[in-house]
Amino acid sequence: MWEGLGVTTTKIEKLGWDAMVAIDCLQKTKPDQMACITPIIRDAEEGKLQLVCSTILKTETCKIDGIEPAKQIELIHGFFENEYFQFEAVHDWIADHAQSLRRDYGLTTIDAIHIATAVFTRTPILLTRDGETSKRKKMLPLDGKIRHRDPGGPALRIMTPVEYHQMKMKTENPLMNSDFE
Amino acid sequence: MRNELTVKLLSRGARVSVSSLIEALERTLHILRDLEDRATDSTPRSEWQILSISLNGSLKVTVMNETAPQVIQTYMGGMRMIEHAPEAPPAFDQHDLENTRKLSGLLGRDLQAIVFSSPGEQEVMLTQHAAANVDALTQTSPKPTVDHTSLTGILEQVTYMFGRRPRFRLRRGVSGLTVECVFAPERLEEVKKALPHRVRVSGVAKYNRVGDPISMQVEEIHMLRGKNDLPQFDDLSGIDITGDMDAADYVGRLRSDDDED
Repeated sequence: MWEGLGVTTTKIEKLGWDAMVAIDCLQKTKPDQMACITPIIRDAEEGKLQLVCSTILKTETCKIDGIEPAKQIELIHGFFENEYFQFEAVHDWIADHAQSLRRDYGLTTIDAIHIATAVFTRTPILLTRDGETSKRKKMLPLDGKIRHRDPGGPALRIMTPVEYHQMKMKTENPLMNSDFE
Repeated sequence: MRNELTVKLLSRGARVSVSSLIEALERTLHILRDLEDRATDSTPRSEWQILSISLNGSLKVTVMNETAPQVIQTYMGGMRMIEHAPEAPPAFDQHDLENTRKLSGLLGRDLQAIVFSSPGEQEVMLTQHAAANVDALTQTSPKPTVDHTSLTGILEQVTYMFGRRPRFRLRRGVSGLTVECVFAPERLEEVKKALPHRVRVSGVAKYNRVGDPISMQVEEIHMLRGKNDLPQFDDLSGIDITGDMDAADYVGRLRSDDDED
């Protein structure tokens, strides 16, 4: 249904996901988000892309207000078991790095863990919507400011699914003008 | 398109020693054959042949194979990757990493540089970065780091030898690196059943110098389901996690609450 204006993403080995992106993907209630998320999933299904997530994302994708039907729990659990999801546990390296990120940038624990996971797994881009809301503006402003773990390694890009989608479209259609945005 | 690879050896002195040439070709061929083995089930292996040799300031040997599956692109990509960072190329196993390390080890002897090239591929110059990166990937941290964790990957190559604890290799999707997993003999049937499937293993892991797990004492093995048994994206319907809230607000609230508690 949401085929993202007919654009599919090009080959990138790894793409990081934050919990809000995963929730949008699971709920499918936001057409604007789905237009950007669906091409990503299609690429992942075709084996072009791995979605790298912290295991902590699983604990965030649950309903806390009210009762969550068993069928929904099983659906989410099974969906995350697909091969294109790569979950990295919060081990020592990630915990240590997340601690530094908290100290340096004032991030919440979970924000720091998601970023540290992307850094550890050398995931070039982390998708989040953290920063779109008025209450919080923490992760998106760190785009390009945190370096990957190899000496001289590139900076981690942190962007929204919409920005990622636009970036991909521009890459695939170099003649596209900025009016499209 | 045939497989064609040129290995250029630049000497520190006037000439390249025969032993360096032989070792460079031998290590290169080992990796190419491994890649070929993994790309095809056919035996016997096809033969690599010398297409040209030239000596003009540097020694250039071009080898080719018309019948092997396309492995040169994989080889070049792997070399490029390991030269750039301590990250295991997905198609390389421990044996290939070791051959790469030994190749770059020749640079400490009479070779100044080893350069690989192939038609349509950007050339790759092998430096001692590759050796350092392989060391970082395969050697345990000087300050041993152990951690109780779980890892997901493909269970492959079970080894069962008298007098040694049985083990299998777990190939991880995230790093491409294999993890040596030691397990209790009574788990053998469980392990055999899981070969060659995706599994999640839990236990005590030991890490290399750059923080990747390289071995694990396995305590639990959970076989993951295949695609046909799992809900796909198109099956997702009617899921409600956030109620009327926007996902960003919902997660933001969870995280703020967690940090305030």
